[in-house]
Amino acid sequence: MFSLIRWHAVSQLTVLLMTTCLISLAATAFAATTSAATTAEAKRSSRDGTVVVSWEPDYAQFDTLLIQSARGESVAQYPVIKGQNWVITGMEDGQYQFILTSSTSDKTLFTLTVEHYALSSAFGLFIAGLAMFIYLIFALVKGERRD
Amino acid sequence: MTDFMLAKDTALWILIAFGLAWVAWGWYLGRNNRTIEDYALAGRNVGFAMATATAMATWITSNTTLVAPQLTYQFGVWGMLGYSMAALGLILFAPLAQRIRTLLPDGFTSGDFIYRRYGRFAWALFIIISLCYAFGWLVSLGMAGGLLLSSLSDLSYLTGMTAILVICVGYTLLGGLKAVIATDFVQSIVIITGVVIVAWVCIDTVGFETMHTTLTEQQPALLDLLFPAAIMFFFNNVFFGIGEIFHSNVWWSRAFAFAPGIGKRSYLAAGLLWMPIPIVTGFIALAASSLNLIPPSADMVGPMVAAKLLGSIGAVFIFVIVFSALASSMDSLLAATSDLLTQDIVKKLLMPKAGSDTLLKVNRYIVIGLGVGTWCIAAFKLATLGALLNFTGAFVASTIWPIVYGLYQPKLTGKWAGIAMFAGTVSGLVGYFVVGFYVAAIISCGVSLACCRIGIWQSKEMFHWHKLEEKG
Repeated sequence: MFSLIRWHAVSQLTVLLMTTCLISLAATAFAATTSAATTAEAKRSSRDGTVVVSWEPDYAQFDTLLIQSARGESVAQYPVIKGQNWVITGMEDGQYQFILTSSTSDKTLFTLTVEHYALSSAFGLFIAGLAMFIYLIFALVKGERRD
Repeated sequence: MTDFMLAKDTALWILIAFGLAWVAWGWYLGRNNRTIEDYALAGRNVGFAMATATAMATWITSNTTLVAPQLTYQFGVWGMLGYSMAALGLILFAPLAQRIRTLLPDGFTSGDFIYRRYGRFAWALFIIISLCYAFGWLVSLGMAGGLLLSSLSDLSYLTGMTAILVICVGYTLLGGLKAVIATDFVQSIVIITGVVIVAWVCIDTVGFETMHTTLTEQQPALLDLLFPAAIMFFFNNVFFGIGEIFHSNVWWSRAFAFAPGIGKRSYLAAGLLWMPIPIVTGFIALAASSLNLIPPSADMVGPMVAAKLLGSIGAVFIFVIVFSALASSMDSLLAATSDLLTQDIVKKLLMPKAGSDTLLKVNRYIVIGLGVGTWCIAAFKLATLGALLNFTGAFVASTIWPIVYGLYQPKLTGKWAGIAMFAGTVSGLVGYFVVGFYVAAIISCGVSLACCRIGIWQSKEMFHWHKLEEKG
């Protein structure tokens, strides 16, 4: 009888925890979507530090893609390879300028604002995942024993 | 064409040599297949070594060799560790494999179990989910073949994609599950040897210190243990991996094919052996910025780094490893999906009185049909591998709890199992589009769990396990 009560308590606690975390995540996601919708093309934003710069034919006249921080410091530079996109990852919170350069001219592509998801939302989902994982192990062990 | 790319002729010769070798071996292994059980389940008598190798090799896929580096490139240390946690799918399936073999001694597919345990409503939803996943995975493998060739050689995306499909359809068609398991055994040895050599060369050439310095300057978030999107991704990948394995007929057909008492040990061993492999393949992506490489698509970072490190001979080497990884998964998926369609759609719905010979023929036609269908979809190249694969996470993670409760909890009914799969999938897809691909599986799994618990709480029925032994 005690084990039955405990079993139901564990499962109800897991479901409750999952629901709370998922609702908080949904609220964060909704807020993120509404703010992203107002972003103009010359100003891009990223929530996970990743940005894709798609190839355009007129980029062939340049030889380097330069990424500058808001203070004008060079963060990274990559070669221009004809026909190829650039996938840049791992960027921290902040504003960055993406500039194509050559010995004769420069072209600013866009300004990127990186604002990562709030840690509270990320940990909410992490804890929900951990709780559900522990509960899965618990269910499998219990099933095996009963078997 | 960059300096590490293979010449068109070299790439074509490798493809032809590989293709002929695998197809000929498939024919040799399948020449004594007489019944649908020989063809689809290798006679239900696979031993421990072959069982472990096929489970491990099937789980080493384009995902491990292309997507693990992609996720490391996007999520850093968390991406690498999170991907390796997909091994938990194999490890946790070990006790299930034993129970499946005991409860359904004459079973053929995962659909058989759902049909007998939950009835038609849940079965119909499960089949839709299974087929969405199977096609998603098949298309991602076809795409990976195309990407591999276009990133490592001067051949086009379409040529690579067509080649991998023709070769895998060829030997699966001729040899059935026996050919799939035997080729997986050889492919797993090639893959493990290859990734270890690449990682060794990476550490030796670039070095930890250089990698750390470059990452700190250019991609600092990749070393950050408090990287929010990566933290979200961690358990998402755990449940995605578990969902993939728990529901997919690829793993259920093996549980039925392994000799009695083998399934539990072999799945456990395969999971433990598989766990370090994504760490090794993912790790090399961290060297990309040190080598001044910038991938045109995130899923190409692994082959680009490896080929850059090993030069033109290395490109051949990488080509062979990734090709083996792709083939080892595609053949398993073709075999398992054709079994699912043969047993669950053709036999249950269209031709209930069909004999073994007819089903064998139908199964072979379905293998060809799957190859053609995959080609048609993969030709469009709609998404990156990681995004496409994680899209299917919303579907598969919704099946975890209906499967677990289906095997161990007699109170869950078919109606609530169906509701759990439907609600889980829909909410997972909402998460995929609103937040990102890194939350689809965990949301789907959480909602499915809540639905299952409501179903168990209000249920007054008790399922009797012996009903599973009755023919469906």
